[in-house]
Amino acid sequence: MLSLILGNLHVPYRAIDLPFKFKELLEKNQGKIDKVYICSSAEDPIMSMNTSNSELLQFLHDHVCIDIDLVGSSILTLEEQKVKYEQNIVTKPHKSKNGIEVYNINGFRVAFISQIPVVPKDDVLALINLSRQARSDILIWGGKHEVEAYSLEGVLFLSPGTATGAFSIESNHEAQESSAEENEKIDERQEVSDKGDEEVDESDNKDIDNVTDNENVSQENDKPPQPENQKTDEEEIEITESLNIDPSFLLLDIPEARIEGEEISCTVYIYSLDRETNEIVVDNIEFKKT
Amino acid sequence: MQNNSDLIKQDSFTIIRQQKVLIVRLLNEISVINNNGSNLIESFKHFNILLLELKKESDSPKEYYELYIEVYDVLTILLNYLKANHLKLFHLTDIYELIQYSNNLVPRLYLLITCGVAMLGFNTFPHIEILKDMIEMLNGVQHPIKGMFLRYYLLQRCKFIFNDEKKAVSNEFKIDFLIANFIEMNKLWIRLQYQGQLREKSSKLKERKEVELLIGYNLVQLTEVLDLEEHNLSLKLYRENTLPRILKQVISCRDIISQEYLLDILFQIFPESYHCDLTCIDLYLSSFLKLTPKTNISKSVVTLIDQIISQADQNKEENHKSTLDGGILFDKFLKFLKYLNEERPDLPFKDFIVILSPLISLVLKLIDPESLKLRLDCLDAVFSFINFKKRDYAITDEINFLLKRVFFSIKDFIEPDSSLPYSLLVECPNVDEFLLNSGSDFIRYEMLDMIIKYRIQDKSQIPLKDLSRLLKHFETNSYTIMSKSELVFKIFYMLVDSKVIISSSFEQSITDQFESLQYCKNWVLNLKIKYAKADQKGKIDFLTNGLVSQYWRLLKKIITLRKSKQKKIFEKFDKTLLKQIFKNLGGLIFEVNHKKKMLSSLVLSVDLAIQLNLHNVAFDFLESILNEINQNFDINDKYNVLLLLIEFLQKDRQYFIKNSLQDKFEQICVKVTVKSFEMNDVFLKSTLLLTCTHLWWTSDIDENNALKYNNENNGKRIHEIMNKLIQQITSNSLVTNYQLCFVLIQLLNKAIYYFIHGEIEFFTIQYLNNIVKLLKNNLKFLERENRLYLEQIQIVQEDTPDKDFSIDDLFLNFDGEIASTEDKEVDPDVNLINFKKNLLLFDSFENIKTYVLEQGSLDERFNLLTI
Repeated sequence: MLSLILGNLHVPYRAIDLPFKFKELLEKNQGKIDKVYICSSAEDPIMSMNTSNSELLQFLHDHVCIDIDLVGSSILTLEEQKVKYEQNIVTKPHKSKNGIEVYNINGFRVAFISQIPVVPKDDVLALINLSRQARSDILIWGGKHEVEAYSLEGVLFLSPGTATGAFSIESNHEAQESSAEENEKIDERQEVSDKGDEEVDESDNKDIDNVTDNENVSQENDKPPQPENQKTDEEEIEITESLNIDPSFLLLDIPEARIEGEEISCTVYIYSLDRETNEIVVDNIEFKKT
Repeated sequence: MQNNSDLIKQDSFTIIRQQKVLIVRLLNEISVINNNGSNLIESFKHFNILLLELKKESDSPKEYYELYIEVYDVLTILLNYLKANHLKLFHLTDIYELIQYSNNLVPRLYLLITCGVAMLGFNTFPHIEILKDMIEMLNGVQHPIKGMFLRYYLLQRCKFIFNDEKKAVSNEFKIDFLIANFIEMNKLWIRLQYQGQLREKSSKLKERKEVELLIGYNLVQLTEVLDLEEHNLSLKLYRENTLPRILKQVISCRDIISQEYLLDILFQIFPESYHCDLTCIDLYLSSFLKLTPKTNISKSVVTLIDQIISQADQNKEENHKSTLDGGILFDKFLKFLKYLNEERPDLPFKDFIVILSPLISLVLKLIDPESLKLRLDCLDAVFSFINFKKRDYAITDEINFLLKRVFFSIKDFIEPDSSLPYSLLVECPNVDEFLLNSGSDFIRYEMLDMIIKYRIQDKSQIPLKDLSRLLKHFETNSYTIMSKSELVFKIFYMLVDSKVIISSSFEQSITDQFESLQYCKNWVLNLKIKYAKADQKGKIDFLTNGLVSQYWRLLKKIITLRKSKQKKIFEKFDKTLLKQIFKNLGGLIFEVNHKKKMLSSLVLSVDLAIQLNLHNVAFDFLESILNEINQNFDINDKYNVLLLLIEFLQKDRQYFIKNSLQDKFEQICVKVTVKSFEMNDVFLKSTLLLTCTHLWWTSDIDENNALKYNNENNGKRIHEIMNKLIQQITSNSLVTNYQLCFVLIQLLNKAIYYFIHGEIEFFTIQYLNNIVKLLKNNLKFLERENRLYLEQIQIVQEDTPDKDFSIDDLFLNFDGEIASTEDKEVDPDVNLINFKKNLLLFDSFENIKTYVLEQGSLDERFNLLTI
């Protein structure tokens, strides 16, 4: 069973569409994906607003997979959907308003934290607590615009990031400030199979960036800039940055266990789009159920 | 009738075949007596009989053609015989003379041509004289079919002369010869229309179509002649010698079928490169103007443009430098259109419209995108022409559809990121007018959709001056807003670009974008007043919220500047402008009708204010959030908003502390906690309160990624909240055992969280053990409930099937309700559900136990917990 997990679309408010490269890739693989899960923060308009004629949902429905689940969406009934979506896109009605959604996918209990915040934000211990409550093997949480994957205490934690590259309200740098569990987190990550190593490298780089950024901040706070720096500041320097974030999505491949009691495992494919080169980068992680 | 004509036809074939046998016998016989060529003379009798069949009136050109083929075959025998035996048995000059005496015109001419052609095979004869003689003789036949076929026969036989590279006959002569023949043949062809009985027009048409190829054959031969020359010379011959004469005939013949056919094959037969010559284009266009009224002009114009475009493609493919100048060509065609409009007021609008799409294609294909920016007037002129013509015609659906196609033809020639459609709208007043006056809303929006779609790809912002021009298209009625709100939103989306260019002009660009946002804000507020009643589906709310997001984007840009190394630019940035942006943003958010959305937006805006170090703004927003929560509010929405607020407050806790705002911040936190206590639902209340505890706690890590104790953390306050929660639920007799245990498990989890984080003053081993003890005591009641339930079923259900006691696919949600991982319905038996809920709580407790045991190996303190 191949599930496509899209997070933080914020369509159309913060991004108009999926990146062309993603659409192309998904369209090419029409028929291979069995289900689409959209997992996001509560402010994502696609989950609740009047995104009538939402072109993105229509695209997913027509060119990727007709089974779309807006996880945790407050759109409850089919009737409500009809009012909100003028086109006939059938997404599944939902069971609960404020909570966790858990799906049993070929023996894996996959919990989604969608539409509800995790407090403290993206805190590992808080996530472990949620996973314990949902009795899940895999926990996917939305609301974080950076893609992330790590295993901890026998649970695989996944953040699909943002599929559209939508900006997040909180500062990107602060979002990278990790909580105290970072140490433990990295230890655990090394247990993940060899292929996951790339992912570790990436996050290490991020941490390095983070450190340098912090240094800059403290410099600013502690002492005024050096006169030499001032000179360079006054020169006409043009820096171009972007509000957007590297878009990403996840593919979760959970094959059907052939023999009863067989050790089951799944593969997570992490697709991200490098905005500099406009190339898709794919990483994968294997995870065994304990 | 049919049978009769078949019989006649069969008769003719029989005669031809019989004569053929006789001729073959005569011409193959080699006899001593007849070696002076008398056999040949003998054979002429038979040829005469045979050729008389071509003199008879035939029912249709088609049948005549069949006979002609048969005859041609036999004449080939003669031709070969003549060529083979010249000077051996006879002299061809004598034979040519001899044939002149034949009585019947048609047979005589066929024989003369055959003989003349045989003479052309020898250099000893004067070629030009012979050719001239033959073509002049043909003028004697004015019967259309007979004359055309004779001329065709001449062409077929003389082909080798036209192809001759040695130029025994000059190319100029060949061209003269072929054109003369073409002109005469065309005249005969037209006469076919009026000859013989007055038959139905349609059958006449059919007959004419059957022989049109004979005319075309002249032009085929002409290209072969031109092909013998170098390109430049052949083009010159075409331009100066060939084309003007052909066109003259086309115009002067004043026959629709002829004009349409000839213009059609002219483009097919001669190479594209000829038609792209500017002089030739002038020749074509001026002759189009002179065509006979019912001839389809537009088809020829379109074909001509297609030829030019296809030549341009070919040039590109072969990497030739194109000599075609799109601008000059366009001007020619536009001038032509204007002449046509003046000279042919009788032409229907449709005929003009069909020319316009190819004309747009021509411009887009031949003018590169960069140069096109300076020649947008070309495209504007097309729409100016449409707008002008539209006034004189009734606009039917068909016309609307065709006009839409004209507009959409732009799409086929531009890159997906082209800014052209948008430039058209804002820079070409005639395109704007065209859109505004387009007959149906539907078509108008399709066009606007295209413009906007392309614009979205082109990430730059929309300047204020273009805004009113764009929004104007949506102001016509309420329907347009309600059904096209996504399209309108896309305009909003383009007000602020995603690029952050940090330079000295940064503040100016922010000011400009802010002005655009303000314009849209006023526009939306006007809509709200105007269409409040019509807006059943909350589309204006959708737009308002969407606009809020664009204010956020603008603020994010300023935040990016603040975080960049260019501190100077941020320091210089006008702080009153910043405050103005927030003021506008706040005002806009309060216009959102949907309360939850409104409050969520306020929360997110607080975070942005903090990132810009505007704590006063942040506190103002926070106060208004708390005020709004006071009022009537759906409990679930209230819960969600509070959770979101807690999330952001917790995240920004360090900011407030660092900026000595701790007191003010904690006042807010207390208010939030009080509101959480006010929740009526036990489950929601406990979840909220336990989340609130984080408002007094920040987890820090040091450079080694190890947990760092934060002096500002307030374990006492957390402890208080938890105790108050325990006190409330234990003292309230309406709280069930299940609810109590559920909350206690959550609470224990939270207590362990702070325990791990090193809060040692209040979250002591003793405290945790007390919670465990309380929990265990209460779980006992649940165990008893479950035992009772099991006993009951054993008594009641002796013969009913076994109940499913499995909890594998179940879990407990925040609202204390059981939830399933499968899509199936949960068994509606309340007692069974309660039984399972209890089981799930036991399971949760077991999980905590396992967790504590496992942690023991990492943190010795865990070993002291009596769980």
